[in-house]
Amino acid sequence: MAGVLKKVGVEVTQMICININNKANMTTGLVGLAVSQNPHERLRILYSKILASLQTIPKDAAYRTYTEQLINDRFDLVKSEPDIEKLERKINCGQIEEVIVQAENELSLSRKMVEWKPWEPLIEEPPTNQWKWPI
Amino acid sequence: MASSLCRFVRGGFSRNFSSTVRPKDEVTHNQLSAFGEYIAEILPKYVQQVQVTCFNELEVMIHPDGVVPVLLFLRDHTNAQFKNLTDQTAVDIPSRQNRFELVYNLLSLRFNSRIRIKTYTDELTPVDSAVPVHLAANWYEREVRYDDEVKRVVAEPVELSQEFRKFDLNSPWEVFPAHRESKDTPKLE
Repeated sequence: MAGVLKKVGVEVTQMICININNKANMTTGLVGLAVSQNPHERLRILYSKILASLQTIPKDAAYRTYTEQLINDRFDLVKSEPDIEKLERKINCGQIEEVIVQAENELSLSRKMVEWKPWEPLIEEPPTNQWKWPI
Repeated sequence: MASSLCRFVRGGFSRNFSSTVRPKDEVTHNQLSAFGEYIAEILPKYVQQVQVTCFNELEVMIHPDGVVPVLLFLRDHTNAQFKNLTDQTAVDIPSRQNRFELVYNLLSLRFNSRIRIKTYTDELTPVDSAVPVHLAANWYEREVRYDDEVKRVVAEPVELSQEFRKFDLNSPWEVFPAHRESKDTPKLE
């Protein structure tokens, strides 16, 4: 790696440094979680997919409002901050690979929410004294 | 338990006997109740009641149809990453109409907080298994299963039904795993 960099000119190494992950292809420190090569790109794709699947939910559903707010905040941070470590600190939710996993989970959850429709009113009231404690 | 009943007075009677009750932590209490309201707002279809106990434990009471949706929401949502199922039990209160109260305890490592999900069921209605959401529920659901073979409380995963295969010790051949012996095969004494 160092041998290659010596041959390349200074401006080019600076260009390369922006694309290479700060962890220099080492580990995230977490078992089973590989360092991602293009976290910004991946997050951009995931967040736009989540927002697209949220569009199918009615506008007044609390899940849609809260999740849209959350995803838009993170999306703006991802768009504004090119440096990975500063982005991790701003989002404040662990490493960027963990943030990617959270976004993937949120995406699968939003698809299932469209199916289940949990914003509808209560299915069935509990029987009287069901939750009364002490009896 | 017995040691807490007899209090040894060490160091003489000049000690301060102010109560050792845990001081009330308003901040955590308010945070938990705010989070409980958040959950109740997002999932009004299943959530019947939310409460925070005096020990600052958040409990969410849901309808039994909503076990899988609520557990999946709590596991996957970014604001509530409760990835650990620490405990799954049932409480038997015979005087109630829905006798069994299923309890799921979840832990969020990201936000360092716990939550309890409670549902209800009677002896004859099966409840959806939590195993598709949390693999840890597999073992707990075996314990919660009602003993009598006819009456079931919790739907069991398919793998469970093959655990109780009986070996025919008369012959050296092992029966197929899904084979159920008829009642009139001779028992080995």
